Amino acid sequence: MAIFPVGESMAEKLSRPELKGWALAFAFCIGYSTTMAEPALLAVAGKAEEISAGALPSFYLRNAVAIGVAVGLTLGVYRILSGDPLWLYILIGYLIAVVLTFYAPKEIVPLAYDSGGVTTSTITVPLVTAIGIGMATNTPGRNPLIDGFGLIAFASVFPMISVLSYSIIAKLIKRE
Amino acid sequence: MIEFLNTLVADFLIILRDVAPVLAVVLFFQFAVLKQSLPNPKK
Repeated sequence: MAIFPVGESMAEKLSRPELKGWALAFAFCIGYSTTMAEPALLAVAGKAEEISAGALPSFYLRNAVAIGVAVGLTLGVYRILSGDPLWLYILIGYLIAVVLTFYAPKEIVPLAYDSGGVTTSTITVPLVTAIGIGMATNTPGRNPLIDGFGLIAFASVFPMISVLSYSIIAKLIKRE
Repeated sequence: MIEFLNTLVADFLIILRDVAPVLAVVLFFQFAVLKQSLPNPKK
């Protein structure tokens, strides 16, 4: 819970219009770093490496998930600042995930779908929620209840996309 | 006992390694971008 006031205070100060670029950079960096530190993801990635007999290295999987969360949070913060509807981003995100599912190796699909839930755990959730509420509270014209929440949804959808993309790229590289 | 302590220290160092980037990001933005001190959570 100690993370909460720090995140809220940072978001409050970064929601100034002249710091918009820094706010997006902060969302990206915090999304990446919190995901890499997420204990649940560490456990799942370790298990995936063990079961796949090293074919799916834990470090690569964690990085793929972390990049997904980072991109998702950056888009989520952009949505708060711009005031775009949440459903549009989430719908497009899930559509991309569904399309990628058809091209990804079938053994990675369940893990990719799980990675969205796994990564929204003890470290990421308090900080991300605080950032969302802090941004929405201090951005003129935004309602913290309507705009403040929803970042966790971004942090759940985008890791699915990034892990599926990673598996497709890995499959293509292997084929060459 | 020594083995237990070794495991404890090793686990602590792993946690520290994982959490260090989060702290680095928060401290960088707090001091370099916002140029402000950390807020007191008790207040």
